[in-house]
Amino acid sequence: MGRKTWICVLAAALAGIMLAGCGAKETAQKPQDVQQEGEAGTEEAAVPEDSKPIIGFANYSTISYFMDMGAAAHKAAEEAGCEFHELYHGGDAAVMVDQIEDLVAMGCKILITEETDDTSMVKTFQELKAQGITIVSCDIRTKEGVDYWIASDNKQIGRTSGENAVAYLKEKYGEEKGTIAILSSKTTTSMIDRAEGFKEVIAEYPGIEIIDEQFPTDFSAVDMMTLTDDILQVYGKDTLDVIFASNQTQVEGANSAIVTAKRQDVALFGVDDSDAIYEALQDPNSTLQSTVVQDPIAMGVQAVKAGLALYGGETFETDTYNPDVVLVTRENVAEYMSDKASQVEALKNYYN
Amino acid sequence: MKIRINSQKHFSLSSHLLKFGILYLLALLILSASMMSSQFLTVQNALNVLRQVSPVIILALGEGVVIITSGIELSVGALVALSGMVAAGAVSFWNMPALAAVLLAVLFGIMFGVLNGVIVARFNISAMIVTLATMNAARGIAYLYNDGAQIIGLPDSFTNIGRGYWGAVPVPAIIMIILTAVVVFVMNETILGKYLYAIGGNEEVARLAGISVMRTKIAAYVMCSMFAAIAGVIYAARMNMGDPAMGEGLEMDAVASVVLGGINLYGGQGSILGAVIGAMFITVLGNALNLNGVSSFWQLVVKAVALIVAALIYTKKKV
Repeated sequence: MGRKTWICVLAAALAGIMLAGCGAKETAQKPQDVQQEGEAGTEEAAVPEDSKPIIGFANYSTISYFMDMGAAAHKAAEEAGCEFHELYHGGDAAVMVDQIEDLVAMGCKILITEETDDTSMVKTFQELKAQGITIVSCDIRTKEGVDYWIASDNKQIGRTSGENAVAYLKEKYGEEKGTIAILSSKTTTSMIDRAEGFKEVIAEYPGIEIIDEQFPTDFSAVDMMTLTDDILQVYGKDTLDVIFASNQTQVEGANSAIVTAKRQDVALFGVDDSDAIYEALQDPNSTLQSTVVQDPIAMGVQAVKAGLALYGGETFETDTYNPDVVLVTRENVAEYMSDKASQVEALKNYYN
Repeated sequence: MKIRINSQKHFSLSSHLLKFGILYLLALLILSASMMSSQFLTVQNALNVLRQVSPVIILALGEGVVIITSGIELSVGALVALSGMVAAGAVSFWNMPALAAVLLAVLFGIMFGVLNGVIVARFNISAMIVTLATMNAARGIAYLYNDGAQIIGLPDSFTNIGRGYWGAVPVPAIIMIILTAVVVFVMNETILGKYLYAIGGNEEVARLAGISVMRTKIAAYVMCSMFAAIAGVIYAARMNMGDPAMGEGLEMDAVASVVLGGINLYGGQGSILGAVIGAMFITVLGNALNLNGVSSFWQLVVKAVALIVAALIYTKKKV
């Protein structure tokens, strides 16, 4: 077979794979289209170009939480008549620096950022400030250079889950007693705060003992499943009542391990959401009792609103915004999912 | 030219340790872990480890075959994600039977194997570069497949591939044992196995000896990608979801298993069973450290030391 034939076959194969995608969605309205529409209207065209700054979002990864936030920001930006660009750094600070430079090169005047930690971006943000760029940080806040910070109160998230776990143990034993293992982190501040909030609540009940706390370095769902597999080996049947998992992949991994091991004696309490987590909340084989979810859609909208206001010279009483969090349980999951589906449907053309 | 073959075998401790060192290390690890943790040497934990190690071994089998040809395959982690998405989509969106979904996922794996093999062998491009590129392609397609979203709603007939038991043995372990037997047979008893070693030993000599280097290399990459697809199906079934982020870093586990197992990174030497033992060593080490409550920071250090020591030992083998 000749070289050209090989190339054709391989190109066709790749095209076939891509066409096999199940969820191809309509592309979002292009910023140029928005501008053209704006120009068609008399008043829109009269607005000075500088009042519609280009907005860039250095987003974290393509899990649903960040994608929802990105889509909400995208929609809000387009509704404000602003061009919007979104890139994912995948949790790599070095990649994030490069992407921010790319976004600035694209002409972005407002940057929405999802940092990997609170220090990596200090120098970059200082340089951006010198260029007059407005920076709105989401979730993890860089120590310097941020104009506005949007983040759920992670300690409150942990406390909410802790109170729910205590209520579960009281129902199980008729009093507040039992044993708990925690999946946490020593490096990710949001997860550290959630675990701290959870432990604050548990500390009020001397009959409840935290018998294990793990600080994995890799949070992939597969690794979290393996870790929980091993935790379940250490704590045999009826020696462990609760596992608290402090982020999405920890919940997914721990849930898979518990279901596979058929450990109905171990209840799981989580944080964050995903399709798999909602499915687990409705699965009779799963012991996931609840998850505390943030509102990434409100965060994305607020990021754009705040960015535009600050860019326009407005000021806020405080530079921090804490959106509400929601406790999703086995009882209210169906209703919550229905509401969320409506919100996601409204954003369907804005996902990256 | 006459070739003198010395049929007299001398026992050499160093060559013996080079050949069986990882097996002794595994035995030592199991012994010390069972002394340190009462939960380690139990039937329940043995089944737990067997389930954990099965997809890693399957990945290591394929990676081992490619490395024996002096190549490397870095896209296996991304292929795990892609094949998991394909299989999950097939059962969830199209209501395909589980077996058909598995075959479809394997077909995708084969296509990527052909792609990798053809570019590496036909165009003589570095396997590392090619598979780095296809790693990104596979990961990207996995995200595109369902717009970055997970695929849920998988039937029991599918999830049993990862979660079920055949008798007392986890299903992934049965699959792993069958695949190991097939690869060991191919590598030791077939002409293809001899060609794979020959190409890894000296590609030019193999070519001059009449071996079709391109076809043999393509076969190696196809085998590797096919196995990665099977591992992806197992992970998706175990996790009860297709997840485009799944499998990140698994290529490193696969390569590490192969290196620990004594397969020479320059190709041509090493036993495929070594890769199996290497994967077992990595998994048992992780299990033992977890059972003993060792910090994950120290776990990284311990695993790195084990890998470096193995690499230092085995890179001296090829002269």
